[in-house]
Amino acid sequence: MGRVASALRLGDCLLVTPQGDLHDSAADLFLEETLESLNKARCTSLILNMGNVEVVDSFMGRTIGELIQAASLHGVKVVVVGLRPEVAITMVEMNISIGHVDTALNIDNALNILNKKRIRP
Amino acid sequence: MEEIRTESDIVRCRSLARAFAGRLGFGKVDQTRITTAVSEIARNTLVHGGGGSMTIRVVEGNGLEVLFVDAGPGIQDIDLAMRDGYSTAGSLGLGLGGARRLIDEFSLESKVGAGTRVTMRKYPSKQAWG
Repeated sequence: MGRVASALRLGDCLLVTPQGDLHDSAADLFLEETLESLNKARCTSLILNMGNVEVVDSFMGRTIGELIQAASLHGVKVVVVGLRPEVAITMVEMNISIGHVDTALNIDNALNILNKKRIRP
Repeated sequence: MEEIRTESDIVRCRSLARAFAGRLGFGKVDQTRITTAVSEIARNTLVHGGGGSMTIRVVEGNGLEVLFVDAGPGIQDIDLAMRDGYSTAGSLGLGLGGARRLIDEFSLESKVGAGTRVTMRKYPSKQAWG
């Protein structure tokens, strides 16, 4: 994963940080490796940290949307954090949708969201 | 003029566009708009156009102009191609419609069997916050 993104395990949560802008095949690799890591680590949640991404075009948007959908189908709760304002604006203007997903300003808030959604015994 | 023959050429085009926009004094959001639009059209040039070129220059009004040219198959239905690229409804997904919204002036000429030219221009806007 190290080439295109870094991954960190926080309990049963996986924190994934794409490193900079991913061109097309790197985006595909990112999608595959994240899903594989989730599976191997048996994580129940994923925090997708977009803080280092400067450009999200339609291909990257589609890839992220697919990642979120696939993870969700797998029963993994996803929170997107750190999307840069200028990237968010551009995505809205281009009508790039990544589907319904919780977002948070930072990792702390993301963990709060995930804790709240955890099913309590 | 930059050749667009490989994926890493797209990456290079993005960096060049961003740097150029920065030097012209575009703000961060506009730099991102320009870079994203360049990314879309550069990809089209490579994937649908079979490769081509990008040229960036300054135009009157301190604007930035990016020109993409390819000698590919051309676009058959331009109206269809301009509809929102990112969609699950089986559209062509060329990202043209989206890129157009990021840009001030957008023109597309295409001839089936001959190729496609896309010209994009963006002018600096007044800063709302100093």
